[in-house]
Amino acid sequence: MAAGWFRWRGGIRHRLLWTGLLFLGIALLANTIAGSLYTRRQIKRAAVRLQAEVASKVANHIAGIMDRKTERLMDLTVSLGLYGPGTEGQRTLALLLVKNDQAFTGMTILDAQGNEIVKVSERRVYFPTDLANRSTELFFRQPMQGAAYVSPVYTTDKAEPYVTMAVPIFQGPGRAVGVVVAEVNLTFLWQIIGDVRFSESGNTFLVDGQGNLVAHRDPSLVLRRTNLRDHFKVREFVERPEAPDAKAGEEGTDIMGQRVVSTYAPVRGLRWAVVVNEPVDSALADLAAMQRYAILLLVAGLGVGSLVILWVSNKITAPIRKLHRGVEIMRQGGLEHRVDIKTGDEIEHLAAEFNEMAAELENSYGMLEQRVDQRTKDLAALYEVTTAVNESLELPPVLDHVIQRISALFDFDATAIFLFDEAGEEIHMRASGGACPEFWGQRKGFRRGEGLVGRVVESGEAFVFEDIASDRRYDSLTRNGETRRAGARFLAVLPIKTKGETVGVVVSTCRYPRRLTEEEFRLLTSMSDQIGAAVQKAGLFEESVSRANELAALYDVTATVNQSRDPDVVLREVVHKVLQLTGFDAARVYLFDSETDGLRLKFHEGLTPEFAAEVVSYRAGEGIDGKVAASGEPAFFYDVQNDPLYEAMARKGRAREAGFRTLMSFPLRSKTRTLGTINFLNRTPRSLLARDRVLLLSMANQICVALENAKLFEQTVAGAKEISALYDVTKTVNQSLDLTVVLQEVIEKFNDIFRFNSTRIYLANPHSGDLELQASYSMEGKGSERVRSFRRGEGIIGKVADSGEPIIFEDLRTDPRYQQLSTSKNTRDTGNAFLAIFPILAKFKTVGTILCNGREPRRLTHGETQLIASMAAQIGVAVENARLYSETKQKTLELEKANTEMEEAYRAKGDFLAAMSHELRTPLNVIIGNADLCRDGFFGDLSTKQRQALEKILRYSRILLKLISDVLTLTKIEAKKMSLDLSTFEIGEVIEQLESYVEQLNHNGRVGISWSVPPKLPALTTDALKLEEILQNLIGNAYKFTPNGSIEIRVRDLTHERRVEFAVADTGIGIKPEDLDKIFDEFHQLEEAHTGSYFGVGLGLSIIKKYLDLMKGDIRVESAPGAGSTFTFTLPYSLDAAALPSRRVAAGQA
Amino acid sequence: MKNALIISVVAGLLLAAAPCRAQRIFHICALVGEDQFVPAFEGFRGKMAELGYIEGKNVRYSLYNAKGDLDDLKVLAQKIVQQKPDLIVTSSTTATAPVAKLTAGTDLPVVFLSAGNPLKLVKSYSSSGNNLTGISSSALELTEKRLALVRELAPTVKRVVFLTNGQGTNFEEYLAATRDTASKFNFELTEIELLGANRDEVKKHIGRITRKAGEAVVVPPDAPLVGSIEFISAQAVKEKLPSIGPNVQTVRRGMLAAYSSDYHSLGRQGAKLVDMILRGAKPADLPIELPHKLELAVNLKIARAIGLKPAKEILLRADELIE
Repeated sequence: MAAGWFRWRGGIRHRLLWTGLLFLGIALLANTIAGSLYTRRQIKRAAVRLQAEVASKVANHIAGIMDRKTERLMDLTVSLGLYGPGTEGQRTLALLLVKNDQAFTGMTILDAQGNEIVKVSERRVYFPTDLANRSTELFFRQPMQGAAYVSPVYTTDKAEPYVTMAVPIFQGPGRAVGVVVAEVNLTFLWQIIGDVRFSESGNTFLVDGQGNLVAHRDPSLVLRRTNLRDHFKVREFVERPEAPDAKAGEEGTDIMGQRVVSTYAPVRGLRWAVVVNEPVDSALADLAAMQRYAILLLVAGLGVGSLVILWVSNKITAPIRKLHRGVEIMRQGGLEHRVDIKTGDEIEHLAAEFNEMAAELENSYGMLEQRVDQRTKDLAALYEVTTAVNESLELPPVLDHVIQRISALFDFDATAIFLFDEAGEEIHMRASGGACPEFWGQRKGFRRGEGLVGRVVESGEAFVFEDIASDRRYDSLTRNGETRRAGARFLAVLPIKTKGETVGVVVSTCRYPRRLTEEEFRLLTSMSDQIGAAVQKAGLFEESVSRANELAALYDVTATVNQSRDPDVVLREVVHKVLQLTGFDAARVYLFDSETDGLRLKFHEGLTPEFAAEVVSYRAGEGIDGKVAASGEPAFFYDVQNDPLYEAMARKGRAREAGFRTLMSFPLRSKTRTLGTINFLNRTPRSLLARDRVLLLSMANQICVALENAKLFEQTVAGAKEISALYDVTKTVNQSLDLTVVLQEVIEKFNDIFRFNSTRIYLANPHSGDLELQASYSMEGKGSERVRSFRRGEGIIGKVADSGEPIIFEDLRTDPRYQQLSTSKNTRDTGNAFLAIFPILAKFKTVGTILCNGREPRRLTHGETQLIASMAAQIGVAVENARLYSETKQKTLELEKANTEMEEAYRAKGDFLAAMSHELRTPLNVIIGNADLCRDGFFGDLSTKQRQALEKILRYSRILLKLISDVLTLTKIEAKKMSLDLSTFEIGEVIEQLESYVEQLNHNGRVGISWSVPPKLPALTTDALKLEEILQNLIGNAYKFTPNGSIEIRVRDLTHERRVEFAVADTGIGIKPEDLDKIFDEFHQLEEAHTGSYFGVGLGLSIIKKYLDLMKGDIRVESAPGAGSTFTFTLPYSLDAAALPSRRVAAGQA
Repeated sequence: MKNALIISVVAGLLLAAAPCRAQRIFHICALVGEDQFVPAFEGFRGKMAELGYIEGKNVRYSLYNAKGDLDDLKVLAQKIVQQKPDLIVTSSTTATAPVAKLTAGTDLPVVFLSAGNPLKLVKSYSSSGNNLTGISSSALELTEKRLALVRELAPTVKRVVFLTNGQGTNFEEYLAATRDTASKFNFELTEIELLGANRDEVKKHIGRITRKAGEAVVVPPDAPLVGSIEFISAQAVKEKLPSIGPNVQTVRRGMLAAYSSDYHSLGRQGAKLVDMILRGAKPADLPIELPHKLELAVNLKIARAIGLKPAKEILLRADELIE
């Protein structure tokens, strides 16, 4: 049972209990399962038998009832034979049957031809017109062949199930002369089915061949026309409607998802089935009860079994528990406890052994306690030493403390600690304690391998002599036996180690022989290890302090380098710091001198002025510093007084003469080149530690950084000055278009920068090409202006102008080119040594030159040359600007004149058009007024022809008036005399006006007009009259170009945009795509207008467009030939009053 | 061991504490529009008792009768709904309409026992779609049958007086159906509207029913008219007019003949629906049922009084002959 995968938890009692229960349980369970299975089979068989019987009985009953219904109809046919076809007698018989048998709700008698001759119903009245021929119906054809007919089940609009039943009317054997057809309401079957009680929750129902529910205990299911094809038994029946249920009592899921036992029985001759349905739980209820009893028995059996097993297991485990209690007592410290078991079997034997073991354990425990005490003391001492080591970074107090603890713990007479000196050659006593201080006073130091201590240091092995008086090893190892002579008998020498290396020893002595146990030796070794740790820590601390000092110095130096741009200050600070830190006596710094191409002493400290004067410079590669600078490798001489290499490398050996012993030289290297060297000198020989070397190299690097920084700073300052100068010149050039002023200012600024003795600017004359003096400046106060103009190609100035390349003479007194190029030698004769001439270029052409003179020879740096060239280019820009300005000024004057002339002409045209329009309108209005009165018969009756003529006059006069008005309007707009009359008004008011206009326009109803104007539109603040005019114009156009069809006027509120949209859409002739872009142009007319079909001059849309521009509106048109046009425009809710200067806004300002 | 013991004790306690629920008393309010519908309630109550609903034990009834007064009917409907009963039983379409209106949108079930035109109250016969269900009396459907009775009883009649009540719930439907059928029978229809919602009002106008107006009288199933049926039948006799009532009960009260469902039977039929609702079914799930039985009644006394001899075929078919 204790297999690997399973481990018992609990004792033997549990094992016995659970094992017993398991076997007992299995036996009882097997019995219960076998019994249940058998009983289940029996119970289910009985349930199935019962279901099958019930289903079959009910099915037979229903078949019997339906047979009787048929018989009743057959009986009726016999009675019907007593009356003539379709007589009142037949009708009464039919009605009586309907009345007496509630199942029959309607009855029809068909004659031999299938004609309905009598038709009665429980609820309806049939009139002769309702009767029809039914010869094609199955309920006629089948009975006419002699057989009764029953239709499939159907439902009416009242949701009740019906069948149609029909029987033949015989007149003589086998001779059918008609048919009686009855409508049978099947609700009577509900009663039959409802009365079938099958167990508590079982149910019975009747379905037809399609699975439709015909009868159920719950009629609502039938009335809802429930189809049960999804029920597994119904499905089985529908698939094989005539066959009996082959799997009666089958278990399955009904339509509600419940597990049921179900059986069906077909109803004979009707293709219906009775289905008996019972939930599995209910059908097998007895089985469940039986299973409950079986489980109860199982539980009871297990209970009794448990009690028996418990009693037996208690008997077995009592002595074991006693033993277990004994163990528990011992575990809690009761080692004196013994168990008393008298069973006379193996357990009693086990108890005796247990008691013996307890006794031994008690004994061992006592010994162990003693050892633990001793060990605790040792550890406490070691802990104290370790604490002392960790608490202090100073070595002497730690060593004293350790000696004190060793003497106290081991009872030694004397203990001393020896440690190596700094050079690691000798070891010296660093601390001692105990008796005989005078003895230790003699023993100050040992060399490696010397005497016993020297041996221990060398080998790293400890030596312990229990009695040196008798120990021969002592004799062989000691140098002179001093310890023995001092009266010591015991001697222990232990190495002190750090990281595996011996750094010292601990020596302990005693006046009498003694033995050092293994634990004592281990403890002593641990303590000497702690001394090693203390030594290491002290060393590290010392090193850290020194490192910190160095870093502080380096920091100071770096700070100095970063704070100062002056290399001298940096050198002084750095060198001073290094000497202070390293303790060297003197230092000197050499830097490359570009002039001599050699090294030059830049700074020194600690040297006498005489010595410094002797070593002030070196040529490249000469002497130690020359070689170091050339190779880039440092040189180190431990003692120059007797170093042959020094002799070989040194130039004159001045350092040796000055009494220096150690000399070292480091190159000063930037990223790209060697800047110089730095020397350190000492009057005593001293070695160079790696640490010192790193420090010195760092310092040398800092010096390099400082030198580089200083150089960069100088360059930056110079560059900034140049840029500033160029900027000044450029500013001057751009500030004025007056060339003389510009040139004078530029030349002064130029001289401020370059400090030439005199500067002159010559510009080429645009007509002659000669270079003429335009500006000059002289330090002496008056210009040397003897020559004021040069021809091109003549003299040096002429050549520069020709070639476009500058010419510079650093010293014309010695320059042969000057002799060759100069024709007059004028510059030299006026006492100048320097001459430079630069071309002034504009658009790649030389427009002049700039000439610079100096009394002294001078070399222009590359930067200076470039700066002068740039300034000359700026002067070129100024010259070009001045020229362009002059040209532009001339052209502007010409344009102004032309414009004034044009405006005058335009104004004259506008005035003429306005005057003419006005003059034309007055007589035309008179014509119209009189013609109107004439037409109305004011001046007497008119004939038809006269009236027609007057109509024409009026029509064309009005067209003419419109044309003149349009011309006048357009003229006003263009003359900027049109203004807006702003007011706030409701859109409805405008629409009202328009409606009356449209009514007039369309008085003959030629086109259909529709309005789409929403009821709630915002009020507009704009020119109401112009809005009306725009809309009238658009509607007028639409009317004009719509021979028949309709026009729609739409208004829409564009709330988000705070605008209102107006649209005039027509179904007229439309506009060609190529015309769409031009229709808003003045005098543009569609082609149709030109053919004479439509009148107009093409100003309307142009005026609309201009009005809308004024009113901040926009307009668009969508159109296609033959598909009509839609003009849509929008206006803002309000013309922004703030943007308009007054209520009446001039057209030009809108 | 310990667990097994606990389980058996708990199981024992659970078995001992078998459910002993207190029996609930259902409160059912009944609203009838007129005395003639009382038999429907009686039939309902009788069947309920058969189904196990014993008054005072598990059911309590409150019956309200509007006695043919439409105003009273509305007041009573309000009173009933305020009581918040478990279920309301109503008689005709007229009595059901105010209750349906007051309970619309609630879960309070309403079962009508004899609605002449159920489609006025519910969506369809198969499902009401609301808190109503019940039994159709097929009264509207039988309009043809009522006029057919005129033809069968008095084949020579050409002009028929049709009484109407403009305030009746199904006024328009009855009028339309009667006009339609009359034209099929070639009857000349004289519509006389007896204004008013109660007997007194009907009585005031009863003199309009004369031989001059028509040769026969047909009364539709309207509560105020039925409530005043005695005046109508008396006037019909006075004028020697064959009179066709809306239901068999009116024949007993002086009408010549009627063809209809029996209210008592309808009440019994309705009790089954109520039983299903009290067991948890929802009215919308219970289809509207048609009457199981229709009856023909002829009052031979009246026939004699007006000098009419009914054909023997009718007498054969009659379920009830009053002599």
